[in-house]
Amino acid sequence: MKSQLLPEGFRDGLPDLAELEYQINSIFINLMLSNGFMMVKPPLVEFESSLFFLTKDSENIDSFRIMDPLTQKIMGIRSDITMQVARIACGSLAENKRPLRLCYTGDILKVKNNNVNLSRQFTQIGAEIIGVDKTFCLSEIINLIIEFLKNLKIRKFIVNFYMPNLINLISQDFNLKKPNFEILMNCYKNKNLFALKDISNELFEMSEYLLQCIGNIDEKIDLLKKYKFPKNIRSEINSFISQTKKIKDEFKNYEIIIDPLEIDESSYHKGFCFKIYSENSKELISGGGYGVDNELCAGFSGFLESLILESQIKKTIKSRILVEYDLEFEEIKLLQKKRKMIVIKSIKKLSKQQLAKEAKNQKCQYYFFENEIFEVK
Amino acid sequence: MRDIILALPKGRILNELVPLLKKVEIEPEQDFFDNKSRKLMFRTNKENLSIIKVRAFDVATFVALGAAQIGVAGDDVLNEFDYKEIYNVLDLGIGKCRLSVAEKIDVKKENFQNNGHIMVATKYKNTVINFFANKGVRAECIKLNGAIELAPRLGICSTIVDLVSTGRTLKENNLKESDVLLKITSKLIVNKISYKIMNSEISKIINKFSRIING
Repeated sequence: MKSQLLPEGFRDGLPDLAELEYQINSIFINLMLSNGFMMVKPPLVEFESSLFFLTKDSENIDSFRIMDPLTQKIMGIRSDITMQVARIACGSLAENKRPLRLCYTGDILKVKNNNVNLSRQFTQIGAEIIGVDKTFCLSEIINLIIEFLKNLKIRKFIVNFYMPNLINLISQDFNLKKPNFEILMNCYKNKNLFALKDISNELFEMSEYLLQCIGNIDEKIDLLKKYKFPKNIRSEINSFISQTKKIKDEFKNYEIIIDPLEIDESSYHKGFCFKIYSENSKELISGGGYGVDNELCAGFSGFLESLILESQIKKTIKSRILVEYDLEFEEIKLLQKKRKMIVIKSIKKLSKQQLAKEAKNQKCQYYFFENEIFEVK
Repeated sequence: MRDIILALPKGRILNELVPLLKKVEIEPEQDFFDNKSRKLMFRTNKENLSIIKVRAFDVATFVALGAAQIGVAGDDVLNEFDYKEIYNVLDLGIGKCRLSVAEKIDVKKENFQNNGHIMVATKYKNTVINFFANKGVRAECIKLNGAIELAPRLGICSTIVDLVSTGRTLKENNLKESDVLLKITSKLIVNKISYKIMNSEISKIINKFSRIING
Protein backbone atom coordinates (compact mmCIF):
# COMPACT_ATOMS: atom_id res chain seq x y z
CA MET A 1 0.00 0.00 0.00
CA LYS A 2 1.24 3.46 -0.84
CA SER A 3 2.16 5.30 2.35
CA GLN A 4 -0.42 7.95 3.30
CA LEU A 5 0.93 11.35 4.29
CA LEU A 6 -0.27 12.81 7.58
CA PRO A 7 -0.95 16.54 7.99
CA GLU A 8 2.10 18.64 8.91
CA GLY A 9 2.88 18.41 12.62
CA PHE A 10 1.13 15.07 13.18
CA ARG A 11 2.73 11.64 13.30
CA ASP A 12 2.09 8.03 14.21
CA GLY A 13 3.52 6.82 17.49
CA LEU A 14 5.21 3.59 16.45
CA PRO A 15 5.78 0.72 18.93
CA ASP A 16 9.02 1.80 20.68
CA LEU A 17 7.99 5.42 21.12
CA ALA A 18 4.34 4.67 21.94
CA GLU A 19 5.37 2.13 24.60
CA LEU A 20 7.88 4.56 26.13
CA GLU A 21 5.18 7.26 26.25
CA TYR A 22 2.84 4.80 27.98
CA GLN A 23 5.59 3.92 30.47
CA ILE A 24 6.24 7.59 31.35
CA ASN A 25 2.51 8.26 31.55
CA SER A 26 2.14 5.37 33.99
CA ILE A 27 5.04 6.60 36.14
CA PHE A 28 3.36 10.00 36.37
CA ILE A 29 -0.15 8.74 37.11
CA ASN A 30 1.05 6.19 39.69
CA LEU A 31 3.08 8.87 41.45
CA MET A 32 0.15 11.28 41.57
CA LEU A 33 -2.41 8.66 42.66
CA SER A 34 -0.13 7.50 45.46
CA ASN A 35 0.10 11.10 46.65
CA GLY A 36 -3.65 11.56 46.99
CA PHE A 37 -4.47 13.06 43.59
CA MET A 38 -7.62 11.93 41.80
CA MET A 39 -7.52 11.42 38.07
CA VAL A 40 -9.92 13.28 35.74
CA LYS A 41 -10.44 12.95 32.01
CA PRO A 42 -11.98 16.00 30.34
CA PRO A 43 -13.21 15.75 26.74
CA LEU A 44 -11.09 16.64 23.72
CA VAL A 45 -13.69 19.13 22.47
CA GLU A 46 -15.82 21.72 24.27
CA PHE A 47 -17.84 24.79 23.38
CA GLU A 48 -15.56 27.81 23.13
CA SER A 49 -17.32 29.55 26.02
CA SER A 50 -16.44 26.81 28.50
CA LEU A 51 -13.08 25.77 27.07
CA PHE A 52 -11.60 29.25 27.32
CA PHE A 53 -13.52 30.47 30.38
CA LEU A 54 -10.35 31.51 32.24
CA THR A 55 -8.88 33.43 29.33
CA LYS A 56 -9.73 37.01 28.47
CA ASP A 57 -8.27 36.94 24.97
CA SER A 58 -9.85 33.69 23.75
CA GLU A 59 -9.81 34.71 20.07
CA ASN A 60 -6.03 34.48 20.03
CA ILE A 61 -5.79 31.03 21.60
CA ASP A 62 -3.96 28.67 19.30
CA SER A 63 -6.79 26.10 19.11
CA PHE A 64 -8.55 24.31 16.29
CA ARG A 65 -12.21 25.36 16.05
CA ILE A 66 -15.01 23.26 14.62
CA MET A 67 -18.76 23.77 14.43
CA ASP A 68 -21.12 21.46 16.29
CA PRO A 69 -23.70 20.48 13.62
CA LEU A 70 -26.27 19.81 16.37
CA THR A 71 -26.24 23.17 18.12
CA GLN A 72 -24.54 25.22 15.38
CA LYS A 73 -22.20 26.53 18.09
CA ILE A 74 -18.45 26.83 17.68
CA MET A 75 -16.42 24.29 19.61
CA GLY A 76 -12.70 24.35 20.37
CA ILE A 77 -10.33 21.41 20.45
CA ARG A 78 -8.34 21.83 23.64
CA SER A 79 -4.82 23.25 23.48
CA ASP A 80 -4.39 23.14 27.28
CA ILE A 81 -6.04 20.80 29.78
CA THR A 82 -5.41 23.05 32.82
CA MET A 83 -8.46 25.20 32.14
CA GLN A 84 -10.69 22.15 31.69
CA VAL A 85 -9.58 20.78 35.07
CA ALA A 86 -10.30 24.16 36.67
CA ARG A 87 -13.78 24.06 35.10
CA ILE A 88 -14.42 20.57 36.54
CA ALA A 89 -13.15 21.67 39.96
CA CYS A 90 -15.57 24.57 40.22
CA GLY A 91 -18.38 22.72 38.40
CA SER A 92 -18.96 18.99 38.87
CA LEU A 93 -16.56 18.78 41.83
CA ALA A 94 -17.54 22.10 43.42
CA GLU A 95 -18.99 20.31 46.46
CA ASN A 96 -15.86 18.20 47.11
CA LYS A 97 -13.83 19.14 50.15
CA ARG A 98 -10.82 21.39 49.60
CA PRO A 99 -7.95 21.16 48.93
CA LEU A 100 -8.96 19.11 45.93
CA ARG A 101 -6.08 17.32 44.24
CA LEU A 102 -6.61 16.41 40.58
CA CYS A 103 -4.29 15.00 37.93
CA TYR A 104 -4.68 14.35 34.22
CA THR A 105 -3.03 13.19 31.06
CA GLY A 106 -4.32 13.62 27.52
CA ASP A 107 -3.66 14.83 24.02
CA ILE A 108 -3.91 18.47 22.99
CA LEU A 109 -3.74 20.08 19.54
CA LYS A 110 -2.25 23.39 18.46
CA VAL A 111 -2.96 25.08 15.14
CA LYS A 112 0.44 26.63 14.61
CA ASN A 113 3.86 25.07 14.43
CA ASN A 114 7.20 26.59 13.47
CA ASN A 115 10.87 25.73 13.04
CA VAL A 116 11.25 25.34 16.78
CA ASN A 117 8.08 23.40 17.55
CA LEU A 118 7.39 21.15 14.61
CA SER A 119 4.56 19.15 16.20
CA ARG A 120 0.94 20.22 16.45
CA GLN A 121 -0.12 17.33 18.70
CA PHE A 122 1.22 16.88 22.22
CA THR A 123 0.44 14.74 25.25
CA GLN A 124 0.01 16.98 28.25
CA ILE A 125 0.41 15.68 31.78
CA GLY A 126 -0.33 17.73 34.83
CA ALA A 127 -1.78 18.14 38.29
CA GLU A 128 -3.74 20.85 40.06
CA ILE A 129 -4.44 21.54 43.74
CA ILE A 130 -7.65 23.54 44.06
CA GLY A 131 -8.43 25.55 47.20
CA VAL A 132 -4.95 26.16 48.54
CA ASP A 133 -3.74 28.80 50.99
CA LYS A 134 -1.46 31.66 50.07
CA THR A 135 1.67 29.52 50.07
CA PHE A 136 0.27 27.78 46.97
CA CYS A 137 1.53 24.38 48.22
CA LEU A 138 4.68 25.23 46.30
CA SER A 139 6.84 22.88 48.30
CA GLU A 140 4.49 19.91 47.76
CA ILE A 141 4.35 20.59 44.03
CA ILE A 142 8.12 21.03 43.61
CA ASN A 143 8.67 17.85 45.63
CA LEU A 144 6.35 15.86 43.35
CA ILE A 145 7.98 17.22 40.21
CA ILE A 146 11.47 16.42 41.48
CA GLU A 147 10.35 12.89 42.33
CA PHE A 148 8.79 12.52 38.86
CA LEU A 149 11.91 13.82 37.07
CA LYS A 150 14.09 11.50 39.15
CA ASN A 151 11.89 8.58 38.14
CA LEU A 152 12.44 9.60 34.53
CA LYS A 153 16.19 9.59 35.20
CA ILE A 154 16.48 13.28 34.38
CA ARG A 155 19.18 14.06 36.91
CA LYS A 156 20.14 17.62 36.10
CA PHE A 157 17.49 20.32 35.89
CA ILE A 158 17.11 23.95 36.81
CA VAL A 159 14.10 25.54 38.55
CA ASN A 160 13.24 29.12 37.59
CA PHE A 161 10.87 31.16 39.82
CA TYR A 162 9.13 34.34 38.76
CA MET A 163 6.28 36.70 39.70
CA PRO A 164 3.74 37.11 36.88
CA ASN A 165 1.86 39.79 38.78
CA LEU A 166 4.85 42.09 39.29
CA ILE A 167 4.43 43.88 35.95
CA ASN A 168 0.83 44.81 36.85
CA LEU A 169 1.91 46.19 40.23
CA ILE A 170 4.68 48.21 38.57
CA SER A 171 2.24 49.51 35.98
CA GLN A 172 -0.22 50.55 38.72
CA ASP A 173 2.47 52.19 40.78
CA PHE A 174 3.75 54.25 37.84
CA ASN A 175 0.19 54.88 36.67
CA LEU A 176 0.89 53.58 33.16
CA LYS A 177 -1.88 53.80 30.57
CA LYS A 178 -2.24 51.40 27.65
CA PRO A 179 0.50 52.59 25.20
CA ASN A 180 3.10 52.89 27.96
CA PHE A 181 2.03 49.59 29.52
CA GLU A 182 2.60 47.95 26.14
CA ILE A 183 6.07 49.49 25.96
CA LEU A 184 6.80 48.19 29.46
CA MET A 185 5.52 44.73 28.50
CA ASN A 186 7.64 44.70 25.35
CA CYS A 187 10.73 45.86 27.25
CA TYR A 188 10.33 43.15 29.88
CA LYS A 189 9.53 40.52 27.24
CA ASN A 190 12.83 41.27 25.49
CA LYS A 191 14.92 42.19 28.53
CA ASN A 192 15.75 45.35 26.60
CA LEU A 193 14.87 48.31 28.78
CA PHE A 194 16.13 51.37 26.90
CA ALA A 195 12.67 52.45 25.72
CA LEU A 196 11.64 52.89 29.38
CA LYS A 197 13.85 55.97 29.65
CA ASP A 198 11.24 57.80 27.58
CA ILE A 199 8.51 56.94 30.11
CA SER A 200 10.27 57.54 33.41
CA ASN A 201 13.86 57.50 34.58
CA GLU A 202 12.77 56.06 37.91
CA LEU A 203 10.98 53.20 36.14
CA PHE A 204 14.05 52.57 33.97
CA GLU A 205 16.38 52.49 36.98
CA MET A 206 14.14 50.15 38.95
CA SER A 207 13.72 47.83 35.96
CA GLU A 208 17.48 47.88 35.35
CA TYR A 209 17.96 46.85 38.96
CA LEU A 210 15.45 44.02 38.60
CA LEU A 211 17.31 42.90 35.46
CA GLN A 212 20.48 42.60 37.55
CA CYS A 213 18.56 40.30 39.92
CA ILE A 214 18.11 37.55 37.31
CA GLY A 215 20.20 34.47 38.00
CA ASN A 216 21.15 32.00 40.68
CA ILE A 217 19.08 32.45 43.82
CA ASP A 218 22.12 32.31 46.14
CA GLU A 219 23.74 35.26 44.41
CA LYS A 220 20.67 37.33 43.60
CA ILE A 221 18.21 37.05 46.48
CA ASP A 222 20.19 39.52 48.63
CA LEU A 223 20.22 42.00 45.75
CA LEU A 224 16.41 41.90 45.68
CA LYS A 225 16.33 42.83 49.37
CA LYS A 226 18.46 45.95 48.99
CA TYR A 227 16.60 48.21 46.55
CA LYS A 228 14.06 50.74 47.81
CA PHE A 229 11.01 49.55 45.84
CA PRO A 230 7.61 51.29 46.14
CA LYS A 231 5.46 49.78 48.93
CA ASN A 232 3.20 47.40 46.91
CA ILE A 233 6.07 46.16 44.81
CA ARG A 234 8.22 45.65 47.89
CA SER A 235 5.46 43.62 49.53
CA GLU A 236 5.15 41.31 46.47
CA ILE A 237 8.92 40.95 46.29
CA ASN A 238 9.21 40.21 50.03
CA SER A 239 6.62 37.48 49.68
CA PHE A 240 8.55 36.11 46.68
CA ILE A 241 11.81 36.19 48.64
CA SER A 242 10.36 34.31 51.60
CA GLN A 243 8.71 31.65 49.38
CA THR A 244 11.73 31.04 47.19
CA LYS A 245 14.10 31.03 50.16
CA LYS A 246 11.96 28.37 51.83
CA ILE A 247 12.14 26.30 48.66
CA LYS A 248 15.91 26.83 48.41
CA ASP A 249 16.38 25.67 52.02
CA GLU A 250 14.30 22.59 51.37
CA PHE A 251 15.87 21.69 48.03
CA LYS A 252 19.51 22.56 48.69
CA ASN A 253 20.96 20.29 46.02
CA TYR A 254 19.05 21.77 43.11
CA GLU A 255 19.97 24.73 40.97
CA ILE A 256 17.36 27.43 41.50
CA ILE A 257 17.26 30.68 39.56
CA ILE A 258 14.99 33.71 39.83
CA ASP A 259 13.77 36.06 37.13
CA PRO A 260 11.71 39.00 38.47
CA LEU A 261 11.14 40.33 34.93
CA GLU A 262 9.73 37.14 33.37
CA ILE A 263 6.46 37.71 31.52
CA ASP A 264 3.95 34.90 31.75
CA GLU A 265 2.42 33.84 28.43
CA SER A 266 -0.73 32.41 30.03
CA SER A 267 -3.11 35.14 31.11
CA TYR A 268 -4.50 33.32 34.17
CA HIS A 269 -1.41 32.87 36.35
CA LYS A 270 -1.16 34.77 39.64
CA GLY A 271 1.15 34.66 42.65
CA PHE A 272 4.33 32.76 41.96
CA CYS A 273 5.16 30.66 38.97
CA PHE A 274 7.98 28.42 37.95
CA LYS A 275 9.50 26.75 34.94
CA ILE A 276 11.81 23.79 35.03
CA TYR A 277 14.50 23.52 32.39
CA SER A 278 16.79 20.69 31.43
CA GLU A 279 20.52 21.18 31.24
CA ASN A 280 20.11 21.31 27.45
CA SER A 281 18.02 24.49 27.73
CA LYS A 282 14.67 22.79 27.09
CA GLU A 283 11.53 23.53 29.08
CA LEU A 284 10.31 20.41 30.90
CA ILE A 285 7.56 21.53 33.27
CA SER A 286 5.86 24.81 34.06
CA GLY A 287 3.37 25.77 36.71
CA GLY A 288 2.29 28.13 39.42
CA GLY A 289 -0.69 29.72 41.07
CA TYR A 290 -3.97 30.94 39.60
CA GLY A 291 -7.47 31.75 40.77
CA VAL A 292 -10.85 30.25 39.83
CA ASP A 293 -14.16 31.41 41.34
CA ASN A 294 -12.44 33.06 44.32
CA GLU A 295 -10.44 29.91 45.01
CA LEU A 296 -6.68 29.86 44.91
CA CYS A 297 -5.23 27.01 42.91
CA ALA A 298 -1.77 25.77 42.03
CA GLY A 299 -0.58 23.27 39.52
CA PHE A 300 1.92 22.22 36.93
CA SER A 301 2.01 20.59 33.54
CA GLY A 302 4.45 19.40 30.92
CA PHE A 303 4.55 17.62 27.60
CA LEU A 304 5.52 13.98 27.27
CA GLU A 305 7.36 14.70 24.03
CA SER A 306 9.85 17.07 25.74
CA LEU A 307 10.20 14.79 28.75
CA ILE A 308 10.99 11.76 26.58
CA LEU A 309 13.77 13.66 24.79
CA GLU A 310 15.50 14.45 28.09
CA SER A 311 14.71 11.21 29.90
CA GLN A 312 17.34 8.50 30.19
CA ILE A 313 14.64 5.93 30.82
CA LYS A 314 14.64 2.97 28.45
CA LYS A 315 11.73 0.86 27.30
CA THR A 316 11.32 -2.06 29.73
CA ILE A 317 12.68 -5.09 27.98
CA LYS A 318 11.01 -8.40 28.78
CA SER A 319 11.81 -11.76 27.21
CA ARG A 320 9.38 -12.89 24.52
CA ILE A 321 8.26 -16.48 24.24
CA LEU A 322 6.25 -18.15 21.48
CA VAL A 323 3.83 -20.83 22.71
CA GLU A 324 1.70 -23.45 20.96
CA TYR A 325 -1.65 -22.33 19.59
CA ASP A 326 -3.67 -24.43 22.06
CA LEU A 327 -1.73 -23.76 25.27
CA GLU A 328 -4.03 -23.38 28.28
CA PHE A 329 -4.66 -19.83 29.51
CA GLU A 330 -3.52 -20.83 33.05
CA GLU A 331 -0.12 -21.87 31.64
CA ILE A 332 0.16 -18.55 29.78
CA LYS A 333 -0.60 -16.66 32.99
CA LEU A 334 2.15 -18.57 34.78
CA LEU A 335 4.70 -17.59 32.13
CA GLN A 336 3.58 -13.97 32.33
CA LYS A 337 3.49 -13.72 36.11
CA LYS A 338 6.23 -16.01 37.37
CA ARG A 339 8.71 -15.72 34.55
CA LYS A 340 7.77 -12.10 33.64
CA MET A 341 7.65 -13.01 29.97
CA ILE A 342 5.73 -11.58 27.04
CA VAL A 343 3.73 -14.52 25.69
CA ILE A 344 2.81 -14.78 22.01
CA LYS A 345 0.57 -17.54 20.71
CA SER A 346 1.26 -19.25 17.39
CA ILE A 347 -1.77 -19.08 15.12
CA LYS A 348 -1.78 -22.74 14.11
CA LYS A 349 -0.44 -26.13 15.11
CA LEU A 350 3.31 -26.21 14.46
CA SER A 351 6.02 -28.83 14.83
CA LYS A 352 8.92 -28.11 17.21
CA GLN A 353 11.12 -27.11 14.30
CA GLN A 354 8.44 -24.85 12.80
CA LEU A 355 7.78 -23.31 16.22
CA ALA A 356 11.51 -22.51 16.61
CA LYS A 357 11.55 -20.87 13.17
CA GLU A 358 8.38 -18.87 13.87
CA ALA A 359 9.74 -17.75 17.27
CA LYS A 360 12.72 -16.25 15.44
CA ASN A 361 10.35 -14.45 13.02
CA GLN A 362 8.38 -13.04 15.96
CA LYS A 363 11.62 -11.78 17.59
CA CYS A 364 11.17 -14.19 20.53
CA GLN A 365 14.10 -15.33 22.63
CA TYR A 366 12.30 -18.55 23.68
CA TYR A 367 9.63 -20.99 22.53
CA PHE A 368 7.46 -23.34 24.55
CA PHE A 369 6.89 -26.84 23.26
CA GLU A 370 5.29 -29.74 25.13
CA ASN A 371 5.66 -28.08 28.54
CA GLU A 372 9.29 -27.23 28.05
CA ILE A 373 11.03 -23.89 27.39
CA PHE A 374 13.64 -23.80 24.63
CA GLU A 375 16.01 -21.00 23.76
CA VAL A 376 15.88 -19.69 20.18
CA LYS A 377 19.27 -20.32 18.55
CA MET B 1 31.39 27.02 32.96
CA ARG B 2 28.97 26.26 30.11
CA ASP B 3 30.06 26.89 26.51
CA ILE B 4 28.51 29.76 24.56
CA ILE B 5 27.99 29.84 20.80
CA LEU B 6 27.54 33.19 19.06
CA ALA B 7 25.67 32.94 15.71
CA LEU B 8 26.60 35.62 13.17
CA PRO B 9 25.09 36.28 9.75
CA LYS B 10 27.21 35.85 6.64
CA GLY B 11 27.46 38.70 4.14
CA ARG B 12 27.03 42.45 4.37
CA ILE B 13 26.31 42.68 8.10
CA LEU B 14 29.42 40.69 8.96
CA ASN B 15 31.64 43.46 7.58
CA GLU B 16 29.98 45.92 9.96
CA LEU B 17 30.18 43.44 12.84
CA VAL B 18 33.90 42.75 12.67
CA PRO B 19 34.99 46.14 14.11
CA LEU B 20 32.32 45.78 16.80
CA LEU B 21 33.63 42.35 17.78
CA LYS B 22 37.10 43.85 18.11
CA LYS B 23 35.79 46.59 20.40
CA VAL B 24 34.13 44.03 22.71
CA GLU B 25 37.39 42.06 22.71
CA ILE B 26 36.08 39.00 20.91
CA GLU B 27 38.80 37.85 18.54
CA PRO B 28 37.86 34.99 16.23
CA GLU B 29 40.52 32.61 14.88
CA GLN B 30 42.14 33.57 11.55
CA ASP B 31 39.94 31.28 9.38
CA PHE B 32 36.93 33.40 10.32
CA PHE B 33 38.25 36.23 8.10
CA ASP B 34 39.18 33.96 5.19
CA ASN B 35 36.31 34.06 2.67
CA LYS B 36 37.64 30.94 0.95
CA SER B 37 37.49 28.88 4.16
CA ARG B 38 34.62 26.37 4.26
CA LYS B 39 34.71 26.28 8.04
CA LEU B 40 31.42 27.24 9.72
CA MET B 41 32.46 27.15 13.37
CA PHE B 42 35.33 29.16 14.77
CA ARG B 43 37.18 29.37 18.06
CA THR B 44 37.76 32.76 19.69
CA ASN B 45 40.22 34.19 22.20
CA LYS B 46 37.64 33.38 24.91
CA GLU B 47 37.91 29.80 26.05
CA ASN B 48 34.17 29.12 26.33
CA LEU B 49 33.02 31.21 23.34
CA SER B 50 32.77 29.95 19.74
CA ILE B 51 31.30 31.64 16.68
CA ILE B 52 29.21 30.10 13.90
CA LYS B 53 28.66 31.80 10.54
CA VAL B 54 25.21 31.05 9.10
CA ARG B 55 22.73 32.65 6.69
CA ALA B 56 21.07 35.77 8.11
CA PHE B 57 17.68 34.03 7.99
CA ASP B 58 19.01 31.08 10.01
CA VAL B 59 20.57 32.99 12.91
CA ALA B 60 17.24 33.42 14.68
CA THR B 61 16.38 29.73 14.23
CA PHE B 62 19.74 28.57 15.66
CA VAL B 63 19.23 30.82 18.69
CA ALA B 64 15.55 29.93 19.16
CA LEU B 65 16.45 26.24 19.15
CA GLY B 66 19.17 26.83 21.76
CA ALA B 67 21.84 25.51 19.38
CA ALA B 68 23.46 28.95 19.68
CA GLN B 69 22.97 31.01 22.83
CA ILE B 70 23.56 34.48 21.34
CA GLY B 71 23.20 35.84 17.82
CA VAL B 72 22.92 38.90 15.63
CA ALA B 73 19.80 39.21 13.49
CA GLY B 74 17.95 42.00 11.70
CA ASP B 75 14.43 43.17 12.53
CA ASP B 76 13.30 41.70 9.19
CA VAL B 77 14.24 38.18 10.31
CA LEU B 78 12.96 38.62 13.88
CA ASN B 79 9.65 39.97 12.64
CA GLU B 80 9.23 37.23 10.04
CA PHE B 81 9.73 34.35 12.49
CA ASP B 82 8.46 36.02 15.67
CA TYR B 83 10.11 33.35 17.83
CA LYS B 84 8.90 33.33 21.43
CA GLU B 85 12.14 31.66 22.49
CA ILE B 86 14.29 34.74 21.85
CA TYR B 87 15.09 37.93 23.76
CA ASN B 88 15.91 40.91 21.58
CA VAL B 89 18.25 42.51 24.09
CA LEU B 90 20.13 45.25 22.27
CA ASP B 91 19.98 47.41 19.15
CA LEU B 92 23.47 47.27 17.67
CA GLY B 93 22.72 50.18 15.35
CA ILE B 94 24.35 48.48 12.35
CA GLY B 95 22.91 47.00 9.15
CA LYS B 96 20.54 49.91 8.72
CA CYS B 97 18.03 49.47 5.91
CA ARG B 98 14.26 49.16 5.48
CA LEU B 99 11.77 46.56 4.35
CA SER B 100 9.74 48.27 1.67
CA VAL B 101 6.92 47.77 -0.80
CA ALA B 102 8.00 48.59 -4.37
CA GLU B 103 6.01 48.77 -7.60
CA LYS B 104 6.67 49.28 -11.29
CA ILE B 105 7.14 52.97 -12.08
CA ASP B 106 5.02 52.93 -15.22
CA VAL B 107 2.09 50.98 -13.79
CA LYS B 108 -0.95 52.71 -12.30
CA LYS B 109 -1.02 52.17 -8.56
CA GLU B 110 -3.13 49.13 -7.85
CA ASN B 111 -6.11 50.20 -5.83
CA PHE B 112 -5.99 47.36 -3.40
CA GLN B 113 -8.18 49.21 -0.92
CA ASN B 114 -11.08 48.51 -3.30
CA ASN B 115 -9.68 45.35 -4.71
CA GLY B 116 -8.98 43.77 -1.31
CA HIS B 117 -6.36 41.55 -2.85
CA ILE B 118 -2.73 41.89 -3.92
CA MET B 119 -0.01 39.60 -5.25
CA VAL B 120 3.47 40.19 -3.86
CA ALA B 121 6.85 38.66 -4.63
CA THR B 122 8.90 38.44 -1.43
CA LYS B 123 10.80 36.18 0.91
CA TYR B 124 9.02 37.73 3.93
CA LYS B 125 5.68 35.95 3.62
CA ASN B 126 4.44 36.31 7.22
CA THR B 127 5.47 39.95 7.53
CA VAL B 128 3.82 40.85 4.23
CA ILE B 129 0.56 39.01 4.99
CA ASN B 130 0.29 40.77 8.38
CA PHE B 131 1.18 44.20 6.97
CA PHE B 132 -1.49 44.09 4.25
CA ALA B 133 -4.03 42.41 6.56
CA ASN B 134 -3.79 45.49 8.81
CA LYS B 135 -4.81 47.54 5.75
CA GLY B 136 -7.72 45.16 5.11
CA VAL B 137 -6.02 43.59 2.11
CA ARG B 138 -5.43 39.89 1.50
CA ALA B 139 -1.85 39.48 0.25
CA GLU B 140 -0.87 36.39 -1.69
CA CYS B 141 2.86 35.86 -1.70
CA ILE B 142 5.10 34.36 -4.34
CA LYS B 143 8.14 33.26 -2.41
CA LEU B 144 11.40 34.21 -4.10
CA ASN B 145 14.76 33.99 -2.37
CA GLY B 146 16.72 36.44 -4.51
CA ALA B 147 16.55 38.79 -7.53
CA ILE B 148 13.07 39.74 -6.36
CA GLU B 149 13.27 43.00 -8.36
CA LEU B 150 12.95 40.88 -11.52
CA ALA B 151 9.43 39.74 -10.67
CA PRO B 152 7.57 42.89 -11.93
CA ARG B 153 9.78 43.23 -15.02
CA LEU B 154 9.08 39.63 -16.04
CA GLY B 155 5.38 39.92 -15.40
CA ILE B 156 5.15 37.68 -12.30
CA CYS B 157 3.41 40.42 -10.31
CA SER B 158 3.55 44.19 -10.07
CA THR B 159 4.44 44.51 -6.36
CA ILE B 160 7.44 43.30 -4.39
CA VAL B 161 8.51 43.55 -0.76
CA ASP B 162 12.24 43.45 -0.12
CA LEU B 163 15.11 45.08 1.78
CA VAL B 164 16.05 48.53 0.51
CA SER B 165 19.23 50.26 1.47
CA THR B 166 20.05 53.06 -1.01
CA GLY B 167 17.20 52.36 -3.46
CA ARG B 168 19.62 51.99 -6.37
CA THR B 169 18.61 48.42 -7.24
CA LEU B 170 14.95 49.45 -7.36
CA LYS B 171 15.71 52.39 -9.63
CA GLU B 172 17.81 50.33 -12.01
CA ASN B 173 14.95 47.86 -12.34
CA ASN B 174 12.30 50.49 -13.04
CA LEU B 175 10.68 50.20 -9.60
CA LYS B 176 9.61 52.83 -7.07
CA GLU B 177 9.33 52.50 -3.29
CA SER B 178 5.73 53.04 -2.25
CA ASP B 179 5.57 52.10 1.43
CA VAL B 180 7.86 51.09 4.30
CA LEU B 181 6.95 48.03 6.39
CA LEU B 182 9.86 48.14 8.80
CA LYS B 183 12.91 50.21 9.59
CA ILE B 184 15.66 47.71 10.23
CA THR B 185 18.81 47.53 12.30
CA SER B 186 20.67 44.47 13.59
CA LYS B 187 19.85 43.31 17.08
CA LEU B 188 21.72 41.24 19.62
CA ILE B 189 19.47 38.29 20.42
CA VAL B 190 19.67 35.68 23.18
CA ASN B 191 17.99 32.34 23.75
CA LYS B 192 15.55 32.84 26.65
CA ILE B 193 16.45 29.75 28.67
CA SER B 194 20.19 30.19 28.11
CA TYR B 195 19.87 33.79 29.31
CA LYS B 196 18.55 32.50 32.61
CA ILE B 197 20.75 29.51 33.19
CA MET B 198 23.97 31.14 31.92
CA ASN B 199 23.09 34.62 33.08
CA SER B 200 26.42 35.75 34.46
CA GLU B 201 28.37 34.76 31.33
CA ILE B 202 25.78 36.05 28.85
CA SER B 203 25.15 39.31 30.74
CA LYS B 204 28.87 40.08 30.59
CA ILE B 205 28.79 39.82 26.79
CA ILE B 206 25.60 41.90 26.50
CA ASN B 207 27.01 44.56 28.83
CA LYS B 208 30.20 44.82 26.78
CA PHE B 209 28.19 45.37 23.59
CA SER B 210 25.89 47.78 25.42
CA ARG B 211 28.79 49.91 26.70
CA ILE B 212 30.19 50.21 23.19
CA ILE B 213 26.82 51.03 21.60
CA ASN B 214 25.30 53.26 24.28
CA GLY B 215 28.48 54.66 25.78
